[in-house]
Amino acid sequence: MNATMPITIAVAGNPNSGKTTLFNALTGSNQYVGNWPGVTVEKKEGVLTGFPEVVLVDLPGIYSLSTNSLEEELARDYLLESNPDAIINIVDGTSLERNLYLTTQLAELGIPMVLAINMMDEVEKCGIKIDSIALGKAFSVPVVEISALRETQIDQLARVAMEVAQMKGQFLPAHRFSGGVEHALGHIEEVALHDHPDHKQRWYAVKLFERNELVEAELGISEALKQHIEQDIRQIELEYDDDSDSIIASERYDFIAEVLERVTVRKKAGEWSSSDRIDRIVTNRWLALPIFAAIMFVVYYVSVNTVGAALTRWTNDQLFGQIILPAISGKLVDWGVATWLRGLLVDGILAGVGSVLSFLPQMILLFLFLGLLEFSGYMARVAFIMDRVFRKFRLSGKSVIPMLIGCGCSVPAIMAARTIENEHDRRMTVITTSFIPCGAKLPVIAMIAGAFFGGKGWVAFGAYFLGIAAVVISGLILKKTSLFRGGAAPFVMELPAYRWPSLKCIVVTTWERVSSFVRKASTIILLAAIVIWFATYFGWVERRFQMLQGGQIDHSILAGFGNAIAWIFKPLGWGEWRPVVAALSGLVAKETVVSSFGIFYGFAKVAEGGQEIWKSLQLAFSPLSATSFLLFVLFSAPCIAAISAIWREMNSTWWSLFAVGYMTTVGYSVALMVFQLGSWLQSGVFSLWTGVALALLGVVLWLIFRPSPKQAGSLKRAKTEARG
Amino acid sequence: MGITKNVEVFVRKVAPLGDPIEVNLRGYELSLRKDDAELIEVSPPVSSINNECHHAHHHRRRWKSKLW
Repeated sequence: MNATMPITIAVAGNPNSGKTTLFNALTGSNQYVGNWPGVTVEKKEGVLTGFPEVVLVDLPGIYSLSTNSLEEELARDYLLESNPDAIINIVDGTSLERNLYLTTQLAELGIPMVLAINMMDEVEKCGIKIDSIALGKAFSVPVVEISALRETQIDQLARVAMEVAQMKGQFLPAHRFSGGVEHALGHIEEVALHDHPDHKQRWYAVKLFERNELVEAELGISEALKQHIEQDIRQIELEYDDDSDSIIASERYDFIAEVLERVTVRKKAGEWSSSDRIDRIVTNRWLALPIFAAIMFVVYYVSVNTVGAALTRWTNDQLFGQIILPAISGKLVDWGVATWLRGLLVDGILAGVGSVLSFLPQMILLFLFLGLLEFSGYMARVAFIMDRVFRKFRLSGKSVIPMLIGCGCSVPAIMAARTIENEHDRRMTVITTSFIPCGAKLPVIAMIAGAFFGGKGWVAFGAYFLGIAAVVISGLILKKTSLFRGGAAPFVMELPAYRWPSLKCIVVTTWERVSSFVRKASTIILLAAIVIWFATYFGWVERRFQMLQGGQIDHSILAGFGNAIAWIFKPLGWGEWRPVVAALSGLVAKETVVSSFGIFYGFAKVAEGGQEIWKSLQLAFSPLSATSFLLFVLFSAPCIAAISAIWREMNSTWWSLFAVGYMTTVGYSVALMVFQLGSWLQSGVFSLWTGVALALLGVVLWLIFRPSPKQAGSLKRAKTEARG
Repeated sequence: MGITKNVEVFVRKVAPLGDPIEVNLRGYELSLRKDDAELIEVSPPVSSINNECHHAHHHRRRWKSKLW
């Protein structure tokens, strides 16, 4: 074997077949987690441990190579276009019937393949016996029995994969369809595909038999040739009394059933396994929701509330506030660094880095929990239990998890959305999650509640209620737009057997997810921190541009900018630079809104709820305009950290801008309607803006209640469209 | 997803809120929304193993290919 030749091996398999665990076992931490171009689906590449020339590509978990879902399309396109040297097809040994369906399709691609039967330890425990040599013969591929979790036979698998990679271009699939179908396929190969290499013909022949329009177009099949092939297909369809693609699917399953009959011995089916016994309690009609609530409470309580909050406080106050910042400031003074540069380094860059790092403890804890829920199999149950509620708003049952985490911090919440399978659901979740008031918005709520509403608890309660309402209403509105239409794929998923998750796998996955956020976030946040620092500390005093002293903030670039755009916020009731800039400073972190007011009103430091400035606020705001201000801060664009998380997850500038733009529109519209309609009710004066607010309300109601343009018919119609 | 002609289907679980449902076929489990499951035409089993067991028959053509 030539050791220097680069080899690419794709890892393919069903969801929940242990693919991620295998990938982690093969590559260790030598992975790169990114996204497939332009979509929100995670793409992982890694180098085989000990073999730097072997690159492994982790394909999305799929059930087939048809194009029912985005994941299937991505996997199929990758295999056909990038033409890897070999495929490792991992199958769950405990449900071969379904897993081997994909295998029959992969085999037709003409790419050398090795079959990895995973979960052999469980297979034995279930009393199933697999003759893997006979199974390999049936598919004419080498078979390795592995346990990805226990990492048994992993080296063997890697070795076999590298060996088969040398067979590139000579691999021919072994399984056959029934006589009539084979005859038709042979004929198609003869008339349409004879100038293609042998090992590629079968895949195309099957696709042409299924009347796959994409493949017809790709091969440039002429209309006359299509008609010719059509005759063959019609004849078979008549003979089998079914349509061609159903015939192929049925025969694949028949082939698998026939093979498994020969090569496996299993216990009597129909017994309740231990997973079933757990599910009897966990998905029980009465117990499911309380159990789910309890689990989420523990996750939230530990990762956001107690341990997470303590760690965040420690990182912020101790590590940064007491140790790193003073140490660096001290050093800079010792070295005689210029004041402005010191300011830039300490107040700008370090503070910016600190704001990213302070999210990390919560994020790590949360991802460890999510990994535990995901790899143990509980996450699939969450979708099963909650689907009924969430799908009305074009969200997934799993959206409940980001929403709950969002009460703590939107950043990990947005990232938690990646466990949702459907791309539409995932995007909708990413867009709406930050409507749920996060921990950093609480000080702003406390400030407004304290200054204007006697600190009543109902203000905070109302904020959460409105947050949920914003999610629901957004779901109702957005699902009817062309952005989220179509793709109404039937909800089909499996509830995998419960398993003990591997600690290594959870840790590796958490590490990759957190570090990919840090890489992306640190650049954007650093840049924003520098810009905001500069705008706050520099300005024109008596026509001279200079660094500002304390109390000169009125002269800052930021204040100038606030003045320039204040008119935009006039209709919301607070068109003055101070609240405008305070609201903008919320982009850094929402709690900054409070400290910004503190600075504007001449307080160096204010308490969390801003008690010192309540008096000044009462002069600047009426209760109504204060409410409008609060609503804008709650619902408009989230902080930069959250925006960069959105950007990371959406993996598309357009979608990120849409998400932020949508949120800001919601924040602005809600604040405008509340202020203008409230003023009208209070004063009885009907102004132009009252009319605008009423019109806006009308538009919102229309958007909610209009019949959905295309899905108005039956579900079936939506499905036919999605399929076409 | 394996719901083809003449396959045995067995409803195994119903979600706490009544939807979706989990069915067993070909030795594995799938959860489906009731709207989708309605499109599967079933008839009483040929070999009556138990009375919850059904054969998927001609489910309507349009939808079929979505579920392989």
